[in-house]
Amino acid sequence: MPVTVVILSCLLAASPLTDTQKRRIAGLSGAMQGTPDPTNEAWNDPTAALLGQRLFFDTGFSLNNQVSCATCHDPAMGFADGKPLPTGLAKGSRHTPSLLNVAEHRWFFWDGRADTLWSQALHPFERAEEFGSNRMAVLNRVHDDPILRTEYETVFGPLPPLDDHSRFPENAGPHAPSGSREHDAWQMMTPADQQACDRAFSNLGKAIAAYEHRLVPPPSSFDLFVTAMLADDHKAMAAYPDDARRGLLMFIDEAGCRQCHYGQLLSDLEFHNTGVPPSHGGLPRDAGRWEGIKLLQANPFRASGEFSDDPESIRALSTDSLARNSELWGAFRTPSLRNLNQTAPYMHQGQFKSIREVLDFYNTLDTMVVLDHHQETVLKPLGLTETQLEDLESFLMTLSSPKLPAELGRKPGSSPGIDQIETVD
Amino acid sequence: MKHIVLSLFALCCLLNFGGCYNSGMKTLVAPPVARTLASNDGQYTFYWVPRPDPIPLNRFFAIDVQVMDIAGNLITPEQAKLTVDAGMPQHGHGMNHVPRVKTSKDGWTAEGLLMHMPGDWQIYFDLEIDGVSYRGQTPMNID
Repeated sequence: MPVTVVILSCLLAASPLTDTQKRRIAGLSGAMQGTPDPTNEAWNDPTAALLGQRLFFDTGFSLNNQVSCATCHDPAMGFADGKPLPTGLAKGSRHTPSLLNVAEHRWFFWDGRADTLWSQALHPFERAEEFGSNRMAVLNRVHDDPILRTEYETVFGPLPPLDDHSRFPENAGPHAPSGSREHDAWQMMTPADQQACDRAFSNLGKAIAAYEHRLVPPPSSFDLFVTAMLADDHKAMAAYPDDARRGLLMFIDEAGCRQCHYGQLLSDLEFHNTGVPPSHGGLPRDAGRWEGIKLLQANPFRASGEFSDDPESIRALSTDSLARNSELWGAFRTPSLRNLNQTAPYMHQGQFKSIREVLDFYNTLDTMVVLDHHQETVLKPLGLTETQLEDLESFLMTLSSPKLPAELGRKPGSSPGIDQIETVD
Repeated sequence: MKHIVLSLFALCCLLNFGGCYNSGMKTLVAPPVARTLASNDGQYTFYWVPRPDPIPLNRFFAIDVQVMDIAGNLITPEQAKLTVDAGMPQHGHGMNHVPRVKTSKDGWTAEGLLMHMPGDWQIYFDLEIDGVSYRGQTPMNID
């Protein structure tokens, strides 16, 4: 690297920030307290959060009694799983996103097929490759467990009379394979009983969301730098590493990262096709957001649906006004860049093992896979030097937060696992 | 204080009494509050005000619109249909939401617009009269 570039980089890091730089930098930080969801009235209910935490760690809802939410969203791994693709009852097709700061997202799953956290939490119960269960089996487990039932009924009122098996089968669900006993059993239920069970099922998602929105780590060293910057505290600002500061300035300007990565999560919360090569090789086969919109708008548990606590909310209107544009084929949600030190590998199939691999991809776009001319054209090779790439990586690493309170990372009432506490940071 | 009162009075006059560009035009959307934009053929002028102003990044906003023809006559929703859209031509994509356009006696309000990326956008106003479409478009940088 030329000496002049090094000198310029050092001068850049040391020079005062312009008003535009300060505004852009400030826009990457801010308090994250789990933006309230008006479609979930149990959002701030502590009993709902306790119930949700129990459900999250309970393997008894899966077909083999071995899989829980925490199987793939492991507290010891940043509420992700560290694998390219997850394994529940079977192998999944998309990488497990972290749940840290999850409530700040606008859409959930890589394709945004859920528009609320509570709706997202319902999917794994009935998906064959995750829990492989069915709606009535899930409800019956809550009904038959004294603690779960008490907490449920404290928050949401009485469960349907599930012990009346002439009306409420032990195993039944709308997503069971067509022709299966569970599927037929669901079809035999009256619409009113189906609706009552759907309502109870939606409440389980709302309880899990009441827990998950608390997964907000303390401020990162970058956040502390921003706080110091806004207070004009130059002494505190000086504690921020020079290479990270250089990387930050590149991030918000010449590297163009800020086009998609801005806001508190460093994500625009929307969807892009960045041409990351699929892990199966060849051309992409996953339609991403294109299919996600279709699934979302057909989902009875969407924000504008009958089980929403505010079907007129901005979330609901947002879903109902979605444009299913062709450039959304193969587009995936812009991931948050926070806590990257805990959430490798990266991208929607975990294609890249390290942040450096991600940066190398965007730096050259050599392996980019473009389907045709109907795609977004925002990306250009960055062409950064080795030192600049290292600076960017240094900046990204300062977005990682200290550990969560240990009690959020385990089943309520269980003793703390030493490994868990030490690794939730 | 006197200066502030006078300024507020002048603003009220402008908005409520003297802001009409034409005697037939109501007060909601008019210069200098409104931005103006000619259709591509120059036959129509769009008066538009975003809410909030300036347009925020990645948050929903609305646009109030009124239209006049070249003779200074107000075009009403009874006479024409208006659609509003936006896109990033350099990126090859539009907005991720379809705006809803509501009508009033004298104009239109487009709601549910959202510009999800910083950069150079174009806002499109398409006025349809008697089966003919007239477009006005204007650049908008969001940062």
